[in-house]
Amino acid sequence: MTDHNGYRQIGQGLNAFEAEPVEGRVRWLDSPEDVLDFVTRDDVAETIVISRGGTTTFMAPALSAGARGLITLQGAPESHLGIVSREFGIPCVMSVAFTEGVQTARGETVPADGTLVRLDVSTSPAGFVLVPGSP
Amino acid sequence: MSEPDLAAILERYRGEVAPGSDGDRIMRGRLSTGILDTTEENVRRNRLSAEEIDDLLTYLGWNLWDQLAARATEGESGLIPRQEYETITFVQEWHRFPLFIEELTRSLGVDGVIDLGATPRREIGNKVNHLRIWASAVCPLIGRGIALALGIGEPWDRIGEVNTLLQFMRRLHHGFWGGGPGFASARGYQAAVLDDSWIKRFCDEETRLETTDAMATFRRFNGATELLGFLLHFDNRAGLCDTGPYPLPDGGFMIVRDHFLNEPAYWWSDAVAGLPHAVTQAMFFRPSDDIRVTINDIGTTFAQPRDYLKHLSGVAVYARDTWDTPVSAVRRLEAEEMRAIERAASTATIELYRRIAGLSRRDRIMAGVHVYLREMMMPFARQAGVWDHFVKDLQFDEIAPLTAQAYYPLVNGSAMQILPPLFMLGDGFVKFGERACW
Repeated sequence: MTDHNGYRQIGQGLNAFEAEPVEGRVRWLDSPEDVLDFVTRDDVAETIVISRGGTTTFMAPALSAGARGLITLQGAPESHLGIVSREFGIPCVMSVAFTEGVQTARGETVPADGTLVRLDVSTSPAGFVLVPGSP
Repeated sequence: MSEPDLAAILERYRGEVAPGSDGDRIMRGRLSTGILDTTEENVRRNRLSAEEIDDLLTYLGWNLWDQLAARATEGESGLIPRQEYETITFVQEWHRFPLFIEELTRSLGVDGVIDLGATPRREIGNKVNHLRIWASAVCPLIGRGIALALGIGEPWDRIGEVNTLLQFMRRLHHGFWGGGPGFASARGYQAAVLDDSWIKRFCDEETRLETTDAMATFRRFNGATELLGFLLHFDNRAGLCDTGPYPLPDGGFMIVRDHFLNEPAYWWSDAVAGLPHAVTQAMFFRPSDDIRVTINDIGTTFAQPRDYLKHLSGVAVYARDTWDTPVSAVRRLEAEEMRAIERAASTATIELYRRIAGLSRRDRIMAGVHVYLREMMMPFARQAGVWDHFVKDLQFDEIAPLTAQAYYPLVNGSAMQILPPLFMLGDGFVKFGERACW
C-alpha cells in the first residue's frame, strides 16, 4: 500500500485527471432525488459526492453546483463523467473499491456520510481515497 | 468475464492489438484491400466488393474498441437508461437507415453527399460533423451485431444494406478529409479540417485569459454548456464535437469545440428556450510542458497529461442562434453574454434534470431512442432539405417491427450483457466471408 504521509488509504481507483489533492466530507447519492436534495444544501462546495455509475447526467446538478470532488464505483476516465469532471476541474476518482465503510442498499461498501476524506489525485492512473490517521 | 480477462481486453483489442496509432498500423496490415482510403474513384462506385466490406468491418471492430471500450465500463446511470436506449436505437438504425440514406443520396447525388461531408470544413456550430459521419455507418452496424446476438437475422443477410451504410459514410468522409484515410484513428488522431479563414478569424479575435477571474469565467462557461449538451441529448455525445488541434502561428495549438444547447426537434426543448442552438469555443493553448492532444472519430479530445485545460491561455467564443442561421451571421460572444449563457445553461440543467427524473423508466428509454435516432440522421436530412419528407412521408420516428422484437429483451437486462462484448471484442462487426452473396 502506498505511503500517504499521515493518511490512511481506504480506497483506490482510476484518476480522471491530475490535480492538487482535495478534502471534504463524503455523501453517497443513490437516486436523482438524493442529487436534487444535495444541491440545495449549504455545504455543496465542501462535499465530495459518491455515485455508483460513471455516466454524466446522474451527477449533472452536483457538477453544476460545484461539488468539491467526485467518486464513483464504476467507470473509467474515458467515461462521460470523467470527461466532464476534467472540463469543470472537479477532481474525480472512478471505479473505487473501498476497503471499509458502510453498506449501501445494494451491499456496496462506501464511507459513511460525513466521513472526512482526502482525494489524492496528484498522479495517474491511480487515484486514492484517504482518511486522516496512520495505517 | 473475470477481472484479469477484462483487464487484458481493455488493454489490447481482443487481447492482441494495441490502441492508438500502433494498433491502426497493425489493423491496416491485416486488410487485403486499400478501401480504408477514400478516392475519387472508389467513393463513386455503387458497389464495394465483399472483400472491401469485410476489410471495413475488420477495421471498425478495432476502431470502436479503441474509442469506447473503456467507456463500456461506466456502469449504470441512475438517471437515464442509456445502454437500453442505445441498443434499441442501434437496431432501429440497422433496419431503417439504409432506406433514408438511399433517399438522401437520390436527392443530393453522390457529389452532393460528398459536399455534405465537407460542411465541417467551412462551418462551425453545425451538427453535420465527423461524429455523425462516423456514426452514420457504425451505429447501424452495431445494431446489426445486436440483432444477430438476439437471433434476429443471419450474418449473411443484407450485404446490400451494409454496402449502402459504408459507402455513405465513405462519401461523407471523402468530403470531410478531402481523400485518403477515412478515420481519425488512421490519421494520428488529428482532425484539423476547418478552413484557414476560420483559423485566421479566431486568431484575430482571441481574448487572452490573463486573470484568475477570466479563466474561471471561461471554465464555468465551458463546463456548464458541455454539461447541458450532454443532458439535453440524453447523455450521449451528440451535443458536442471538437476539431483540431490546429497549430498556432506563435507556437501552441487550438481546439475548436461546439456545444449544442438548443434543439427544437425535442419536446423538452422549451427548457432551453432563449439559448443559442450552438456555442463554439476556439481555445488557444500555449503549453510550457510537453503535452500530446488527440481528437478521435467521435470528436472527443484526450490529452496526456490529462488536464490540458491548465495550458489554456486564450479563447474566442461564438454563437449560432438557430440550426439554420447562416454561417455569415455567427456572432462573437463577449464576457457578459457568456456569463448569461452559463447561468441560463445551469438553470436549464436543473430544470431538465427534474423533468427527466420525473419520467417513468419507459419514457426515459423512449425519449433516449427519439433523440439518438434523430441525431444520427436529422442534421444530414435537414441540410439536404428532406427532413420533413422523412418524418411525414417515411415515418422516420416509427419503430420497425424487428426493433419492437428487440425491445423487450433489451430493456430487461440484455442490453448490459450484449453491448460490452460488442464494444470490447468487435463482435458486432460480423464479416460476410465466403457467405457473401455478391
